[in-house]
Amino acid sequence: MSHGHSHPHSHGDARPHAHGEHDHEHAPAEPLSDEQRAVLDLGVADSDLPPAGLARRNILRTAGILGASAAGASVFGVGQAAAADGAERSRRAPRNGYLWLAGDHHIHTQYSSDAMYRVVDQVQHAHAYGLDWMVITDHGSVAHAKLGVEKVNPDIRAAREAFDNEMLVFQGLEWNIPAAEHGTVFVHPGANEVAVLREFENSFDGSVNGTGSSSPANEQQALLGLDFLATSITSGRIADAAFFANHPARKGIDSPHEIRGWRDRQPRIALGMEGAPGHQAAGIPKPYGPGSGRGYYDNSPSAASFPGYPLASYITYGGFDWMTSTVGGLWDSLLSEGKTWWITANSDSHTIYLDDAVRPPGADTSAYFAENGRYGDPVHGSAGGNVNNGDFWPGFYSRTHVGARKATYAAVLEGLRAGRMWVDHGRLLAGLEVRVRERGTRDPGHPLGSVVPVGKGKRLELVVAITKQTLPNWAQVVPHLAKVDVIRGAVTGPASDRDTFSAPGTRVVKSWDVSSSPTAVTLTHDLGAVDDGFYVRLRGSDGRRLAPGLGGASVDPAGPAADVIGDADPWNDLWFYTNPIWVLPR
Amino acid sequence: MRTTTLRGGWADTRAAEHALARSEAGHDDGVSLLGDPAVGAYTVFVPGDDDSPPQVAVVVAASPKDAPAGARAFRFPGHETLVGAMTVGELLERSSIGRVLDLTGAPVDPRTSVDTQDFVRPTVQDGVLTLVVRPGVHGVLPFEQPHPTPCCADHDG
Repeated sequence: MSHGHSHPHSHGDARPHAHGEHDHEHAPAEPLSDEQRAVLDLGVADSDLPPAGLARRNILRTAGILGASAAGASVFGVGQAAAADGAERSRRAPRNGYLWLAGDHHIHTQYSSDAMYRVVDQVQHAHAYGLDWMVITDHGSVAHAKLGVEKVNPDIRAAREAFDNEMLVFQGLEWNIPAAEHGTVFVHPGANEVAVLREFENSFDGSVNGTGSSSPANEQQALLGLDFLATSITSGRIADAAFFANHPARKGIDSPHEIRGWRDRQPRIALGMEGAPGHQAAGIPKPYGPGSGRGYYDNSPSAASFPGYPLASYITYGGFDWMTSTVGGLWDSLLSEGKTWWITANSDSHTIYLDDAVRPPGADTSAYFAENGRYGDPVHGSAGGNVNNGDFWPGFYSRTHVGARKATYAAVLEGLRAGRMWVDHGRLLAGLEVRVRERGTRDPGHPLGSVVPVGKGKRLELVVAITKQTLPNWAQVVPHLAKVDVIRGAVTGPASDRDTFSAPGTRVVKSWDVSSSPTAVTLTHDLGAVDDGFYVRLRGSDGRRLAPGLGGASVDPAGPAADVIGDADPWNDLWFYTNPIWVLPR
Repeated sequence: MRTTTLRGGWADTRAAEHALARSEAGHDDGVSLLGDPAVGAYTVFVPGDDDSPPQVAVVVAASPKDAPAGARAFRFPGHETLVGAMTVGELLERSSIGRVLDLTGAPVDPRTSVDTQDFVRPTVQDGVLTLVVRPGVHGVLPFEQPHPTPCCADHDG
């Protein structure tokens, strides 16, 4: 590849990239360069592209990959674009090339009618519990659209400064997705962060606009909301934005075609979903805890639910949402299509298990909230720790680890978009590096979220470097990783039925018992000679609650057990999950 | 007339069930079991479109075989006996529920204890009144919970 790699690294990556020494199959599907983004972004006019960029765009157009809105920019599109472009080939990136920044994109404050803490309460706890980035996501509502979205901003700015900008605090909101569930929407900080979020909420929030119920027209509103965010970026109003679907299976109202629809409409903004919901203390038994479903997943189908979802979809398994925890389930059906769709794990922190703070008398009523867009600052309560609160502080239990080139807002967003992410509960792991590389080489390989374009017949391997936890977690227990599973599925291309939620070929292909392994352990799995396209993802557990998966023991012999309503101790059932790596023959 | 959609237009199953109770208390809510205790009452979901939101309708049917697939029974022969805890075998014996399945679709051992929570809502699957259960603290629970967490509830109990 001799064509230029002279594009500026405008994300501020200080590390020099060594280019030109690898051939195509080693080109990591790294984050798109600005040049590649411009090619994929039809907000950029053809006339504004350099000739090479326009040529690539026309190739993608001819292939049907680039439609009216870059829809269907699946791994096929991205992978081929990357291969055609040489991508950002870097020998420095692997292993030590990324800072792994822990974060949480789902956190509420006193600007939510069902929450209570100051922004700085959440930031301070998140910082103490080891997070590096976080998103403030108060509920979209009439009061929030009118007051809260604006009033929370000075609090967020002050919190950024209070921690010397060590903690990256994004402003976002929890979007009532028209016709669907909730989702995190957040933006890169900047002069217009409030203006864009306010306009978004006033125009596209399901509660604010009465577009919450399931209908084709309302589903369209959700897509228009994503378009608005995309336009806000291309017009230069904001530097970046992202959307994740929250607690997607909780009520069965995020249908498979809606999820595909969001993702295909704006694949650079609609990035994924919560693999694990928050509220992980909600299943702690009475009288010590709320005694509800883990994640408050205790619902049943309603008229708004997608009728195809089984009852089994309404509960969590090992603390994870059914869409993610089911091997061969909804998430795998997207991955097997080649759709980039990533998972996260968050706190959904509203009110903290065993916290004794309360809303201040007089500034704790719904009337006060409606008038002020917030409750008053919390005060010390007199009733002791509240056992009915079902949440943990950000960072206390759930973490989303993002491989970022540096500790900046832009780099976190770039890592999220690239799918360079893994998640864990209860600090199960101290560190994790996952690579796919040519078998038997010392090639640094391709990290999580990558698409590996490779010649047929080439033999690859999966390398998993784990650092087991040696420090106690926030329950004062050193978590113990017992096993690691490799899940593999074929890439079968676009689904003919947009409501498909199964990938029958995906299954657990390898399990390692690592209970007696040393702290630093490297596991290698032979992926064989590449014939057809496939993807691999990883999962691991403390091994305390295992059961055959919903697809049967031949698919998943020892997966996460169904969480018991009223009896789910989150600390005795810990899992980690990674995002996938695809391998596509050329 | 074996199947009758008596009324539609309720926002949720609870409101639909309440309408039947109100009818029986003498209010004109339009839902009736026609005075026959062998008849079952079911909620069914009516999908939304651009003109109306999704709704719940009530169907009355003499047998699960006459009810739509997926219909959810809230009145059925023997339902009033399903209170407190019992074994799965007893539940099958006392009511017109034809089978009890776990989340994987496998039949549950009849000796398993089921805590009914005084709220049992089986659904019609393959023409059979079917109760899907979930793991509970002791034995199993009917899948549908009597008091689910409402959306955006103030969890600060």
